[in-house]
Amino acid sequence: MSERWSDFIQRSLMFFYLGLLILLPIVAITVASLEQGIASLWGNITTPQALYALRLTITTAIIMVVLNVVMGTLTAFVLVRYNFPGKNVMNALIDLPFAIPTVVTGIMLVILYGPNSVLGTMFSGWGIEVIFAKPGIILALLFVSYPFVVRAVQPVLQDLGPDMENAARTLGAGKLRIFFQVTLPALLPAILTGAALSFSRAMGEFGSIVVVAGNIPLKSQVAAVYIYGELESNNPQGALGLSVVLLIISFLVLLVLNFLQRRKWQV
Amino acid sequence: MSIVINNLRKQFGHALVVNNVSLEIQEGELFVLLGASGSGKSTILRIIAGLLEPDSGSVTINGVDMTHVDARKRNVGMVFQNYSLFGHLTVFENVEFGLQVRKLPKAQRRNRSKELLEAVGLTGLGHRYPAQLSGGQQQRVAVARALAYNPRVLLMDEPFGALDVKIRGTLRQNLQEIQRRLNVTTILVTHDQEEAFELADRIGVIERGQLIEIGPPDVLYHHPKTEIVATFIGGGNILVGREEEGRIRLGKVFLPMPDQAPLHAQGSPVRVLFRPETVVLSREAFSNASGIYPLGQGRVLKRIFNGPVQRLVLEMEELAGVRPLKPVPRYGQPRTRIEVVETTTGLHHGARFDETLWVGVRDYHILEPSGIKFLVYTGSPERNPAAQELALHLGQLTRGAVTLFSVVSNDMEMSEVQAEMERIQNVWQERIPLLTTEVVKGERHEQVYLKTQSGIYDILVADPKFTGQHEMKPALQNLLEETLLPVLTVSQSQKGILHILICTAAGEPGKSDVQVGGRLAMRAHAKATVFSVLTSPDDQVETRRVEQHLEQARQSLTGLGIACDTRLGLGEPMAEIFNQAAKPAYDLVVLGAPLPQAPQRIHWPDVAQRITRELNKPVLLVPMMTT
Amino acid sequence: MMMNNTYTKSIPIGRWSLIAITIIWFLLLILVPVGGLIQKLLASPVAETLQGLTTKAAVNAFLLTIKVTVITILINTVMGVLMARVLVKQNFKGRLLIEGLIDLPFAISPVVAGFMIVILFGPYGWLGGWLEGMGVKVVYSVPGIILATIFVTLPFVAKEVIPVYRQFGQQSEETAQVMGASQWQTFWWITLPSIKWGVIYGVTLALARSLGEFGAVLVVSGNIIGQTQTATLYIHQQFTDFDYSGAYAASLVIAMVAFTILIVIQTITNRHREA
Repeated sequence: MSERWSDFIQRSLMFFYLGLLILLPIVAITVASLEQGIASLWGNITTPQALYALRLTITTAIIMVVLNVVMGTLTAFVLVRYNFPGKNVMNALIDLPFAIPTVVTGIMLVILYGPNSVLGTMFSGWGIEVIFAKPGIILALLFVSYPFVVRAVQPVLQDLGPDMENAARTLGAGKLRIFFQVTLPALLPAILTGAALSFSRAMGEFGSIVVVAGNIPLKSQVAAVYIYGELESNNPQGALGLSVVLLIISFLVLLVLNFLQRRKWQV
Repeated sequence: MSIVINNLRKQFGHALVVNNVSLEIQEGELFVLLGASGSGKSTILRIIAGLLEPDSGSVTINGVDMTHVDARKRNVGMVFQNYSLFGHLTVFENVEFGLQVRKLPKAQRRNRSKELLEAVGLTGLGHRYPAQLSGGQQQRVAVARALAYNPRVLLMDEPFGALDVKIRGTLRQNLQEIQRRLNVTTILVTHDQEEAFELADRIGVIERGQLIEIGPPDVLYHHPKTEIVATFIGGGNILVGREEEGRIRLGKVFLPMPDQAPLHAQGSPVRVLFRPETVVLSREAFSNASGIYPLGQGRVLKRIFNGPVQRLVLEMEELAGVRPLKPVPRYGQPRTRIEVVETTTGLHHGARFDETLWVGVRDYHILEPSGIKFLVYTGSPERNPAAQELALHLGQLTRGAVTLFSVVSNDMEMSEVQAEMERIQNVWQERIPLLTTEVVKGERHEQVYLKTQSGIYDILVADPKFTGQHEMKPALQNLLEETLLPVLTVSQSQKGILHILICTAAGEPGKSDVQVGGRLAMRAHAKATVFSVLTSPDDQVETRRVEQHLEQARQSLTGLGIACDTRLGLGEPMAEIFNQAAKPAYDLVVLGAPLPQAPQRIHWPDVAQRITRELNKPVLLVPMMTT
Repeated sequence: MMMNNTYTKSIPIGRWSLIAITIIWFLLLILVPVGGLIQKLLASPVAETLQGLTTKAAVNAFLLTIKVTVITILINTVMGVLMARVLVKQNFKGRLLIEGLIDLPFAISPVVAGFMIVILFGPYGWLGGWLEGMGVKVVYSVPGIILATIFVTLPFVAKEVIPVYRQFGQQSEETAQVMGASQWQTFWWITLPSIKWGVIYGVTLALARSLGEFGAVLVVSGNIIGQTQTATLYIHQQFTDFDYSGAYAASLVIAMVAFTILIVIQTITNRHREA
């Protein structure tokens, strides 16, 4: 049948497209790393600079994820369960970080917290450095990944409705107990999904951080910026190490997300 | 013949969803495929529509083979369960879609769609969108849309499934009118028995991918052939009685065997169906002239008042000990219960709770005797396949049910055996529709025993090396004693049976060897020879007894329509039986094997072992119940 | 709508403090930075801002971004719908793996994505060398930028269309098929209208991402002013060159576009939910 023929062509087109754009680049970077040799690759990863960048990336990512999980869940909860003036506007603007280019995000944060700004001088008066330092990175990450947790939790909370909570209330449970024993467990897969997405974004984030934190080795240089730095200084070999590490983390996060997707239906 | 479906088969992965379905539907007929969800009825519909291709078999519409024709060229109309209306198109555009595809001019299209919308009673709603219509209206749009291009066939997949019970009735009438008016051949798929009765010219009952029975609604209701159909359609009482001298015995009650009843072997179980509304209750005993068949007295256990009728459950004194198939007895419930529907004729007229009444039936129906059910223990993967092969051939020959049962000890074996089972299933499914396979993990002996207790099987077929021991004797003896089932053992592959030797010992109570052997011979259309051994020819009493016994056996077998003769041997029983069995004419030997409690003159498993080993003939050992 | 009056009335203090915390967090984190940018621009003279936006480099950068975005969206829309169609309608080995593969660009750092493209399509790469032999320069040139943008926006359309297709498209297609519609008729008259909102939503998301992509493009482009400098690269360049007014002005323009896109998305979502 001609239908089978056209099915076959469509499928082949898809395989070609994905093969060329996703699979082949991954194969290429893998081969390039292997050509370089495991020892040399390991050497690239374990230079003090690279290690610092990796550690900085992970610590800032974790701090951001924790804050984002709490505040994102709270935001979703408030948006779904409560009514207050400006709720609709706020709901619409939650996605703003997805729309604003990351460079612009970085610039906005520099304007706000930079050395000449009101807030910047205030913070440096207290001895806190924001720009070109960890707090700046965390702020940038919080900005770019704010929607992830909110948008993951919101629909689940909406579907959940207040029935379960009301039922728990009739059983005599207190407010906190209801939240921690009834609502939270039901939301957990969604929260974890949001957390995983945020973490993944944080591991790879470049645009906003390169503006906010700059490229200062052993101080404010995160993994993505380190890779870019190596490429800029014409040292692609040096960039391979952390690239492979980030790639592996990407795969792992995808696996976790896949697992969470399946978990979600069981709730 | 508008639609002819031939030997349709469809498998999804491991599941055989459509199993050898053949069907002929007349021009203009409204045919209903009735079955539970997952029975494969929708799959059949999708195959007819061309949305699925069958693995084998054919679909012919108006004489043209459509099996491999693209759905879009079949010119059939289809109504899906959720209607599948195009949400972005108006009602008019929906109805006209098929005409637009067929490149009909716009004006003609609009006329036709107006015509159809009028026919379904939706005049004036043409410019609405589906989302603006009620469920019932959407359904009618779907019907109009499917009929717009004058399809040869209208296929409907649970068209009332998503609707309110209240409007279903009206829509059914509406559909029937349109179908009659346009005279379009229609196949409707449903799980709703009431809907099938109301609409169908004929109903086909589907169960697990098989078409069990086809017929007009009233015939299927009053005279079903099978238990499945009898229980699927309507409420009913099915009691298992026994044939006794041309009558049916139900406990202490006898009913005449109706003339049109299917042939039953002497003493074989007879399944009697009577519908709750054919039961007559009376405060006085029925006279012979009443035309009512009395069932004795019963006590009203439960009474549910329903307005025009009341539903009763009665406990029947005289039917004690009769096995009811329906209503399903509760565990440990000693007395037989029946369901009754009584028309209420006025206040205080009907049966009252706890009242004891005379019970009779105006009419009853005998279901077809079921084929022989073989349970085949297939052993380990490296087993001797002879037993299995013979069982499959016998299953085909007798139109019986075959269950292939395997016990494995680990997962690796499991997948191996499963693959093998699947292969057998594929090869044999068409020849034995009631073929099932099952693989379980566990200890062999225990699992086989549990399995024999889990269903009603007639014959257990096993490899001689059943337990893996070298001596089959103790194993066989164990099997017989534990399962109380006739056991068929085979050592060499054989394609079927033509002549059965039934070795019977005179005077054994029950005569189950003759019964089982006879049933097998009848179903397999084989000849039978009944053989008995006289140990002391001088003993006049014994001689007469044995001769009488043989004559009785001959009569009962001939009564079943089996070509049959008798032989009498003289001498030592074991040697005589062996010599007789050695004659090449016989290809299956039935041995009655008394259980240990009985006076044991011959150790039957010994004979069985010699015959299987040395003569390579299958032996059916029948345990003789002693009281 | 979901509110339960007795529930909220019982502890209004707790409720309002939760609302307050959320709003403050949202204001500080998201709105104040945006406000800061606007305030900075308002503070500087309009003429200066306009001048910053109309330099040749700025205009070229915006034009390049538009060009890259248009091409990217075209390709990814067609391929996204095609991939969704294949994944929904066809059953083949490894279908789930492919669905996972489509998600990959979301998880990969844009810098790494750019780097991979450089490795594959660079002058010494497997495909780059071959293409360069044919006279096509990919890396440090416009094709590379397009490739990088396609990579980072690849999942959007497919991911948005797949669930909608599953829900509406497939049975509608079967219905049309039984009614005699050809494959093309079915696709244009039935499928596309059924999955329309999914496509539009996916395209809008891809559009936003494509306009704002920075990391992957930076690595691939070589950042050659007037040639391979997109809008975001231009902003970054201006910023690092301490030409703040140019950077701010361009930032605001692009943020405004992003904001507009956002509103479009919201409207679509709302309308879609109502339908």
